[in-house]
Amino acid sequence: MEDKTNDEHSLFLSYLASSEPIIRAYLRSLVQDYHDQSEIMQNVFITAWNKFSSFSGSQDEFCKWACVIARYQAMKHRQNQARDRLVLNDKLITLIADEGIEDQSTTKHWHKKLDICLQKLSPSNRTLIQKAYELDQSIKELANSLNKSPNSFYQKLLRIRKSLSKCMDTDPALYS
Amino acid sequence: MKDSDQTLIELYLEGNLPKDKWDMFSTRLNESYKMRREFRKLCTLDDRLRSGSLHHLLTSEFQPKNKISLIMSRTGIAACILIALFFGSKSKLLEEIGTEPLIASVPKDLQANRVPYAVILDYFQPFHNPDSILGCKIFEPRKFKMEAGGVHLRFNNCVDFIFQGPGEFEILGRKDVRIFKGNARTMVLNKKGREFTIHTDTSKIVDWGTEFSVSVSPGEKPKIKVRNGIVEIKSKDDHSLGFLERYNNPLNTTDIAKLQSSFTNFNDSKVFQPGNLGYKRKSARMNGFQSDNSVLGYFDFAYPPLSELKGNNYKEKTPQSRISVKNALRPNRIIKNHKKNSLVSNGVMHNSVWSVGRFPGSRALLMNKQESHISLDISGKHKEMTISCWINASQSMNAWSCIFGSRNWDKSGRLRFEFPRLSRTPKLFCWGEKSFGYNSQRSTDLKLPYNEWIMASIVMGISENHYLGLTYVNGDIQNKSKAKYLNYLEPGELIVGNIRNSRLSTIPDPNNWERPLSGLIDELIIWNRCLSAEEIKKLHKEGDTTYLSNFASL
Repeated sequence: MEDKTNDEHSLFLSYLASSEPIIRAYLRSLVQDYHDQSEIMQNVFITAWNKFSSFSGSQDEFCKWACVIARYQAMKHRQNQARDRLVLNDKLITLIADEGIEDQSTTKHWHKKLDICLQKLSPSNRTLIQKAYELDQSIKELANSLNKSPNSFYQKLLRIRKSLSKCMDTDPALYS
Repeated sequence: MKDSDQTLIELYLEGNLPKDKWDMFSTRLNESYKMRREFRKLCTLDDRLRSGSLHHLLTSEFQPKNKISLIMSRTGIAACILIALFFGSKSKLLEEIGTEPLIASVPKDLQANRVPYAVILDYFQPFHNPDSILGCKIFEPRKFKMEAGGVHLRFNNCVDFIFQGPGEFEILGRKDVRIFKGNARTMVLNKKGREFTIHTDTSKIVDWGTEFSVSVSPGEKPKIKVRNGIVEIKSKDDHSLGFLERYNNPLNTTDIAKLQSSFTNFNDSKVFQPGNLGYKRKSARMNGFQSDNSVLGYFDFAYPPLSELKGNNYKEKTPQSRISVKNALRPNRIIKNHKKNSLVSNGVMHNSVWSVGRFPGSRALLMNKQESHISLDISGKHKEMTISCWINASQSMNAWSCIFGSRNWDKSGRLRFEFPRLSRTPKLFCWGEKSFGYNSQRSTDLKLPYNEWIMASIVMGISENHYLGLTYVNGDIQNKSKAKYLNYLEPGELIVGNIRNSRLSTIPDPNNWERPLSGLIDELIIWNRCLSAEEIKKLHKEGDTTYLSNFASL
């Protein structure tokens, strides 16, 4: 690690800057718990950095390469999980993982589109969904703070998420 | 794709998918490519929204300072880790507490964004400065060897692990510790901490959300005491030997004979509790002050020993068969100055009661009445002086509250350190200095928090031909003022707590005033020299109730 040059370090950072959201989204489909996902992400970055000297591809290839590391780390994490915890079976996770790596261009499109879709939301809905994802507040607490019943608030969130999901697919390029 | 499929995905991502729906969810995902595609899309959406909120939190706290930092603000945690690794690889981290500073040479703002294995909340080892250890983060496997004392670690914000020396242990990961020798207490603080495992020579002890203590000696079976919840004992090759409940009762489903042969019972009453290490640090500090000639007074607010309480404070029958109190000043009203032959007298408490201190087992003085205060005498004039104390103030209806100050306001050298109810910013006043405390360079506008232990300090002395007064809150400089006429301090009778205008009497007078402090007071120290900013900072760090303040962040 000490032999790595500053140039290599900068290159790695620039690759990482553009690939990080895709790797995160990929890992999210393999790990149910968001906190676990953040931990695994760190391990992915550390492993990728340690092995970076053996990588010689382009930026696009870097994303795929890092996703393979992420897949390995996610599988390793599954083995360490509690015996009684409910997890998706290995065959299914492998299927999702393979499709995720093959279909990375779609994930990139979703990311681009999501920025626009979030902007299209009404300001009140945008604030609401951002607040709902703030780590320290439960849906119940948030609903109480906005003087709404948890159930109606939850339904509202579902509707916003559905509209975002629909919006992310509107670009015909996605179906090509 | 069906609406019900989408709902299943949403429930899964929230972590709320009911047990009876798991099969249906797996089957649908297996069967339908469209559902898997939707699943990946919703994962992208979910991650983006979550990391969006995280990113917002990060950018509000993190101030980029250079080019690398600007890149980091985009890639957030990722870049932090890498840069930390890059620098960290060149730094030597210690393997043993007490020989070298523990912290890596990774910049602190970068470490702040990387999730460590564990954080050191409390630490005490005789003859070793805890300053460089407290608050330290452990990012990789590390071995600790302790000749005495102990260390309190918090793993991944979910497990508290208190190790008591002499002994040796190794941090293996966020949920794994190996103990070679020594005693430890483990407390799982939330669900995330379940399965925290202690590895020993002969077995593994898995914590399933509980509190338990363990004592390990090389080559012997571990000694265990379960205080709460359930603990599982496993063989070295990972086979379960059974489960233990509260006070070492085997769980019904367990093969009792097999389980009981794997450990021995243990009385853990002497294994450190949270906060014990802070108390030990406090005691060690007190011993250190005995040999420091610049310390004039050290009041630790320890409850007087029973032998001292007997005194001659008793009721006596007079010849007329009336009962009178022999001594109005009772020994348990004296706040002892542990510095012998000093210019500062013992203190006397008025209308105050003993209460629980900053650390379990320690005492503090509760001032809960309008007249509550402590009085003590500081003899002579002093060119330089530092006074520091810990207070835990509660809300008060009075316009001003006095932390400490001279009783009489009659000549140069008198001082008062107090804070108003509205701004709650402590201010230092000196006799004859009309604008002192106001005409100053204010570094921070800290609002003194209620119901929280804070360290308030003042430092006065000559610097660059000016007589200066500095105030500190929690080790950070808060105010710096130049005196116009002041050349020395002569506090005279120093009052901690409520100061009253001496004209106060039974006759109502609109000019009367008082400054009651409502709350707790602990550890008052007086020096006849100026302490440097670093010394004040260190004093705060060593005296901080880290285990308490860190509970708030859970």
